[in-house]
Amino acid sequence: MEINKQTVIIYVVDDEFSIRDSLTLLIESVGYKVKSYDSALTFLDKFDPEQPGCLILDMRMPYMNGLELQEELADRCSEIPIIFISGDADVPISSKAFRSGAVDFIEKPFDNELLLKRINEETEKLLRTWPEAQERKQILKLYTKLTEREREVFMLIIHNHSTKEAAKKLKISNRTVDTHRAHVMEKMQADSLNTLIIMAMIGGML
Amino acid sequence: MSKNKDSEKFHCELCQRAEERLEKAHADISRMTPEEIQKLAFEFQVYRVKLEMQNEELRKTQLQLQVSRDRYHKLYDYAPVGFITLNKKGYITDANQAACLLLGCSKVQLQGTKQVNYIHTEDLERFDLFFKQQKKFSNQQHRIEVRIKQANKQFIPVLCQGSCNHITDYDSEEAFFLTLQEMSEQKRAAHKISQLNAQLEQKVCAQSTELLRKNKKLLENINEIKSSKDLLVEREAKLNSVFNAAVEGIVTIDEAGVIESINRAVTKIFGYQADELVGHNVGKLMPMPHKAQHNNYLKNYLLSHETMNIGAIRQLEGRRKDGTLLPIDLSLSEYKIGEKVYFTGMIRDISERKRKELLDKKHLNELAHVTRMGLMGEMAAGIAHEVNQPLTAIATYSQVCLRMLECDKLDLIKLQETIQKTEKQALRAGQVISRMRTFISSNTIHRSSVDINNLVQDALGLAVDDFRQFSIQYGLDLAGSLPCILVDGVQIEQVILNLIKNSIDAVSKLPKNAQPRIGIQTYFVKNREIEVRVKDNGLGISNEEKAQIFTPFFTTKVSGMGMGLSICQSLIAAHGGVLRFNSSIGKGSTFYFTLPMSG
Repeated sequence: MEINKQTVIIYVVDDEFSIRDSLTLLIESVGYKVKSYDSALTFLDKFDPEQPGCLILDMRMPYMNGLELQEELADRCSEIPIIFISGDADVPISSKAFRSGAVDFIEKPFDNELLLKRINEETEKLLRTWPEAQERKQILKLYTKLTEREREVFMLIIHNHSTKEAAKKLKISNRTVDTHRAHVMEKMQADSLNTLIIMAMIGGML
Repeated sequence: MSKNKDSEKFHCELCQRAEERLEKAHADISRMTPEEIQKLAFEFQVYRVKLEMQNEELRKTQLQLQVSRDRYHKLYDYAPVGFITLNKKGYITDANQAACLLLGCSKVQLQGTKQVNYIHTEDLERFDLFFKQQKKFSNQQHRIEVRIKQANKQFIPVLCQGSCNHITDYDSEEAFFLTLQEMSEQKRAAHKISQLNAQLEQKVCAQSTELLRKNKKLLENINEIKSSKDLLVEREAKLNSVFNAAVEGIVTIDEAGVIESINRAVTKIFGYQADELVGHNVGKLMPMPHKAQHNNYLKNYLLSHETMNIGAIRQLEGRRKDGTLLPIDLSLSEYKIGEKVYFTGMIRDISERKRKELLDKKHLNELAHVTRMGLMGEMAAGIAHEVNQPLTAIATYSQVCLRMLECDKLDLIKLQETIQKTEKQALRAGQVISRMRTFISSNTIHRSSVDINNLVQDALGLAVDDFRQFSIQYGLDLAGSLPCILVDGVQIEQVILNLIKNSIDAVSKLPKNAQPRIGIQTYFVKNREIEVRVKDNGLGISNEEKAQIFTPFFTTKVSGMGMGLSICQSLIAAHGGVLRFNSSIGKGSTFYFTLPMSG
């Protein structure tokens, strides 16, 4: 998937209309696509993890606050960068947000230049890492399709174990190992052992 | 006469025995000389004369004796006391007529019978003892009371007195002499006497016990009186000490209003000496209008018993000696001694209390202000949030405008729109601040004549953004031609806005498919008060929440302070109205408050 500044979407989640409206105008004015939501729930409803984006998130909101949304996104394995905006710079809350992976925590009323700068930084980082991230995602997606036994065989292969050694370790026959190996190669869509090892490295398994 | 015969017989026997003796002595006469015979004859002759003389003497004595014996017999026989003579063995040897009469037998019948036969069997033992003692101690006189059995088998009590008679019987047997005296008469009299005595004694006894009882009672009464007197003295002392130690002034007056007594506190409160008041009219302690009227009050009361406030506490003014007035609490009571009516007035100097009350009120106001200020401090965070929102929006809109201006293609319409939005947010921030300022400074209610419907419209205007955001349907049902009321418009508007905001929060929690609705109504109730209702179809309030809903700092909102409803309630209360609510889970809530027309 080709990715550039135009394909990235900046999400604004704030229960206050004027904030959403003004931020939308501002961020659009520097050429980003903006989608705004009045609550965490409506955002989650529309959220697509395949879509590269950046989240501007208000901390204080009814029903589901910023921290709770951050948690929910983490549960969904989303790596979307989050910039918190909040009316009160509550240290415990902000530190919790940072620990959970927030990229910034900006106090309202904020310097719009700073916010835009942070958005730009995050977007560029996203553009840089997006292909690899996508690839990793793809590899992990394939990996989840492997059976338990196939994963064991996979781990042994990428660690340079021969069929014999693998069979001995797993206490199964050489033929069975070969069958598993063939399935692994097929499921991971790898044409050679080299490709498989590279995939394992990108996927963080090696 | 027989006694004479006896004595002659006795005389003859005597002669006979003398001749016999003489014959025995005559044996030797033949051998005597004549001289001797002569001598002897002479001697005989002398002897005979001597004997004759002796005889004469004897005869005389015998005569005397006979007379004496006759007398004795007469005495014996005719004595009113019964005499019985017994021999040693207890057989009756003689009895006089009285004794015979007593025993109901003739003398002949009695003679030879045993005395004991005539004694009551129950008395026998005693009589036996008596008889033995009589024999033993013959020189002593003994008495015994026995019952004698008469011939007709009747028993009569007899006093028996015995003595050992030294008359020697012919048989030289010792005889006993018993006197028997009938007791019955005597005894009956004695019995009667004793009975009377006993009765008397009983009577005396009863009377004396009664007397004793009465005496005791009297003594008790005396003691009681004494102790009650002590008690009275004690009580009087106590009352006196209470009377004089009381902080309240106590004045008693008679029906003419003349002071009978005062306690020490009165002199302290009013500055008069006791002698300056006692005997004077109580009007001396009153300021003018009361002073002149007081005697009339008393008269009216005594006539009607109605007009005076007996028992109740009244706040009045008193007048000190120096002419200054002082606030007092006065309570009156009434009492009667005989026909005379007296009144007691308890007077409490409440100038200190009044001063304190004033001070307290001032403190309370200050406290209310301080509390409100503290509340403001507590609310600072909330305010910051509320002000931060428009400020943030303003900053952002301004930035947008700047960027638009830098842009090659200047979209003037869009720029204008954005500037308008900026202005709106600035105004909003200003409103928040001015609202807070009015709220803080609104220590007193600044009332002005207001149309409540205008206040509702104004509040709605501030909430319209939120309605749009949550796509809330709102309905207005405002009563036409409502009279204007005197209220603090800012405060009432704030209450309405607060209720609307709460409703918005309530309906925004509704699930997606439900249409949130808020309705605002105004009513004119019973031509007396105006009612404002804010109704929503939100989730409703749980019973737990209902109990706490007006408690400060209670909130169900993430960003709430928990002050809104608490403040609303106190604001409405300050206007003399009431803020209430109805709510049921799943159906929604209605908050409504009333404002009285009179303010």
